[in-house]
Amino acid sequence: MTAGFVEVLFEGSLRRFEIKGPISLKDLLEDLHIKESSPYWFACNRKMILRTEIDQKMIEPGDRVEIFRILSGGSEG
Amino acid sequence: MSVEKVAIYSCGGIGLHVSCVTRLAGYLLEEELLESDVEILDMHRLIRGMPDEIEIVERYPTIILDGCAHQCGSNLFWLLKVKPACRIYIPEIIAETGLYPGRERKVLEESGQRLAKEVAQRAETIIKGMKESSAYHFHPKKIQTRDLTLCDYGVDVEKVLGYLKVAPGVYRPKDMNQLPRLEERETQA
Repeated sequence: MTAGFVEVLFEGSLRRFEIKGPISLKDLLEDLHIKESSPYWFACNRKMILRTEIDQKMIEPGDRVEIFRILSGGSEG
Repeated sequence: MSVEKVAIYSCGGIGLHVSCVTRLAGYLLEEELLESDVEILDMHRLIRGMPDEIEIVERYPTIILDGCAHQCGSNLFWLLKVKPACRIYIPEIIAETGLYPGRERKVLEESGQRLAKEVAQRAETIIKGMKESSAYHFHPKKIQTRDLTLCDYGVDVEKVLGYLKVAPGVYRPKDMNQLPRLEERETQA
């Protein structure tokens, strides 16, 4: 496995996290202490990730994950 | 054909603070920075088929301000079968500047206002480049609204529009003109 960093844009700040290899978005969110059910939407490399895809979506070193808080209106992705 | 005006398409979302940022950026461009050089597009009027709104898209190059990864602005243009001159992708501007949209929608907090100003200033640079440069050409195009259907969610809009990253947060379809103030070196080469 190749270790590396993922970038996470969350609440206006860009943070880098070291991962030892590909991890699921679900595991990344757990590491960030973000609950799957939280009112956020998620994207990876400018592609939306549907809630039904969180378990399967693999995040790899070099990826950028975007997390934004959802308000009322529009879907929750 | 030289550029007379530039159309701005601000993200029309309602569920994220960032859409308020893109709207404010559009207002700043039209009401303060480049009053007579900018037209703000209204998605609803476009979908409705209002002739004057369609004319703006067909007659002027458009800068899309995509607020999030849904990329609704880019998807709309794909739906209309026309390419924007470029788009600014706001999450990348947030990542680069550390300016956050904030948590208030009714009136943006200071950080959100600063972010809107930053986005507007970047668009201003691009617009001035388009207008000033003799190397930049724009060809009027026709939107195709017949047999309009909803966007296919499975379509990779970045791929179908052929986006190329030309500056932090700024993308241009690869077959559209280079942006003079941003891609000056390549333009001069």
